[in-house]
Amino acid sequence: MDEFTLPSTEWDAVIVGTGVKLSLLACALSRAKLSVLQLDPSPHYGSNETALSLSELEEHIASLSSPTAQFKLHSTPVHRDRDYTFTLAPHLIYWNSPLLEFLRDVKMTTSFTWLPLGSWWVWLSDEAVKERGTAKSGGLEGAMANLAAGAVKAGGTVRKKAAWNKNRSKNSAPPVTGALEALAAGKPADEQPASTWGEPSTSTSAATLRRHGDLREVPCTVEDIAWSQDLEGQDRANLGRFLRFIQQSASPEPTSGESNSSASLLAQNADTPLTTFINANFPLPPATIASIHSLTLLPTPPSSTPLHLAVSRLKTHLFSLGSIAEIRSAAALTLSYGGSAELCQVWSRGAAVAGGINILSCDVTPEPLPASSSDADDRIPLKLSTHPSTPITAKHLIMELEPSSWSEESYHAIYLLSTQLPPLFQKKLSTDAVSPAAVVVTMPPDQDAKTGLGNSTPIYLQIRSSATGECARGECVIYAVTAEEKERALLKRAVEMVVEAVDPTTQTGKGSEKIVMSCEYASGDLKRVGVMKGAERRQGELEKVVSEEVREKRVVKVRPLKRDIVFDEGTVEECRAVYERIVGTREGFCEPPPEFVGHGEEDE
Amino acid sequence: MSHPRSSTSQRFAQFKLVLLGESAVGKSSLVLRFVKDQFDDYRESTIGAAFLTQTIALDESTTVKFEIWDTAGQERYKSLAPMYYRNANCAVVVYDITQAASLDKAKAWVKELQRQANENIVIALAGNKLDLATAQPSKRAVETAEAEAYAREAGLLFFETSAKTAENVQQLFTAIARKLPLDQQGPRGLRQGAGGRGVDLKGGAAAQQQGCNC
Ligand SMILES: Nc1nc2c(ncn2[C@@H]2O[C@H](COP(=O)(O)OP(=O)(O)O)[C@@H](O)[C@H]2O)c(=O)[nH]1
Ligand SMILES: [Mg+2]
Repeated sequence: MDEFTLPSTEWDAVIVGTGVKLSLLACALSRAKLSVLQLDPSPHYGSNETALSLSELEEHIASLSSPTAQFKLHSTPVHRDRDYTFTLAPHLIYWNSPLLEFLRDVKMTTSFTWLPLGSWWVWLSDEAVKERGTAKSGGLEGAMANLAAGAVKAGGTVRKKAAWNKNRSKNSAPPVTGALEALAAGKPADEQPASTWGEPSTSTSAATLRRHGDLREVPCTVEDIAWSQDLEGQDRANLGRFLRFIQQSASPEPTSGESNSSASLLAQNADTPLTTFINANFPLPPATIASIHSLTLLPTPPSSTPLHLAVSRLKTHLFSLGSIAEIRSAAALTLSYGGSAELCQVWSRGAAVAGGINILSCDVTPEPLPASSSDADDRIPLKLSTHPSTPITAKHLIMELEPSSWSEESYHAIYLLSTQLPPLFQKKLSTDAVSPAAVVVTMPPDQDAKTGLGNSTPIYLQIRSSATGECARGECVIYAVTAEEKERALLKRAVEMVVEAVDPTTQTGKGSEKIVMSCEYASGDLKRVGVMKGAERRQGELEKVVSEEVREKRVVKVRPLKRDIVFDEGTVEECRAVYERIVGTREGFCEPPPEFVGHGEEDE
Repeated sequence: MSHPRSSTSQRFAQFKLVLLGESAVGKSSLVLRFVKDQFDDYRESTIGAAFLTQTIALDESTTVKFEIWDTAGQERYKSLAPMYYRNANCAVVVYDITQAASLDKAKAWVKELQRQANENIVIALAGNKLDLATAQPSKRAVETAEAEAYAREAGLLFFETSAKTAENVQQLFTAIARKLPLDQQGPRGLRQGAGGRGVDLKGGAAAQQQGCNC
């Protein structure tokens, strides 16, 4: 590498890594006029949230040097290397998310192409759908619910009945709540107003739930529940009541001073498994529970997912649903060209635009300054691998926590398919102006191997169309994830099952023929590359070079981004806190300085 | 934002244009000359402009709008991200006619673009700081004929320019605009990606829908 001189040897902040959080910090601190040097030992932006072309992905997987990390070409891709953008961070971003709110505040939304994540699908055989739980309360509950007390009892406990009635008569229910109540009271489907939870849609847009073989659309709106053919009358009522419970548990305390019984029911059962809770309060068939649970995208099966986690996810989903003007059927978005990898690139460039410097293929080691140097004090002395003879100092050193702090493992796979699975990307509602560019398919736990998969925890597949710009026309990319190491081998079979069910040109048993490329890795493998690779060593050097006091004051470590399907919503808040620690205020976090022109927004 | 708008009588298309080339050859200066008709001898590379826009009227009925991305200095540290030239419809690859090595660097960029960018990207080669060679011919390090021959061979537009005197700057961008595909479908390979229509998060009804609607 040829030498280039750095404009300075003293930096306000040296940031080691180009992942989501560190890139956001680089942008925010540069915009606050701090001198920022952002480095990454790898030649790509994004660290463990990077996006890679086909050949780069192959190299990257090889560099993980893990026996379980594999890259395999099953046939020759017909397109150029750069036509592919595979990502380690195919996150989905809910409409109601702190990230979107933040990007709007700092006028950065137009730096990205936002694509809707469309319908949600779950794999359930006819047999699984017919299955009814053994809970004998089902019939009894059902009879009682039909006695018009259903909606009132939705809170669950008889104890609270009076309070619910009181509340209900005082507050005139908004239309959607009304619809849910009607459902909960077991009124027939055709009397239901057609509306999604978030925003009432026009009545003409009522759509029946779609299915492709055993792949079924997840019912999550009032109209879905009302029209679902997989639900019997009582299931419909109970599902309506369960959704109303979620909605109510999010509401602020009623003004009457009565406690919110849904909120207290939730509080009492925070750690109760979802399945146990539903069966005790709103008995539903296992298939319905599986399908509701699929919206949580949580790694655990419904029988061991704590209620509070499930409710929190379902709330976000349901409150986001219907809010996107162009596509009322969607609840979440994703970024084209690699999901969150795009955040890294845009924010790193944002740092450069604001005067910061990013250097790739550059590592950094803490190293004592030569004795002649005077400015050691409480600055952190560093050596760059690209400039070994020019030591620098940093007022703040910002990096990720060491990999040993990673706890939950997840197992990932990426597939490139030579089919685009068009039925999955069709518009759901006639009022939808745009088509989904990504969909989520859940293979729920299937312990008795009814589907033939036999997985014990949910397997999630995110399928992204070529509209994301991540593959060529006629292809799609599937990101698969499971929390169970022993079930890694099932990911490929899950993909084949979906292809066989959805793709009209693929016969049963021939799904694997459509797989052009497959690659696998575990979240833990990522410790072996890029910034993480040297993290422990850097930490050791740091301890030798600067005192604990200085480390406390000057070294900032952010948590690695959660390897979740949903964008890690703690991100902006954590970065704001780091910013406050360094700049002294949260005000103006990442706001463009007034002299900026064309920083992303159109001037028209 | 990159949707081509076209009607029967008026044609309007927007294109992403990126600048590439070695540091200090005058990329930012060319942009500033073209967009603001300014030149500053002492300014460092543009800070604070992610991209600028400029419109060219090709004739009464055809308007081309360039969304011009500058490198923000990232080229100096070999840290340009793929997002920079991804989906670029056109590129100006700049070298300094008083620095022979800068043409080699320009050639490397052309190669990179031909490998990584849109297949039908329009590339122009610009030999900048023409004013220096005009004032003092001995300063010239790259012969016009040599660069021109290379450009012809590689299928590039070619101009020698001066951001300082404005010589050939307007001509350079106009030539690019004329070479861009202005068919009725509009330019291909726009930033919207491979045919995916995005969701508009900027203001409007959508942005106000935030929060709980129940
Ligand atoms: N004489 C002369 N100097 C120029 C010209 N264009 C740029 N410069 C100077 O060259 C230096 C680098 O220019 P800049 O636009 O920052 O280059 P960049 O790094 O490629 O963006 C600055 O000092 C400019 O004033 C030109 O056409 N003629
Ligand atoms: Mg510049």
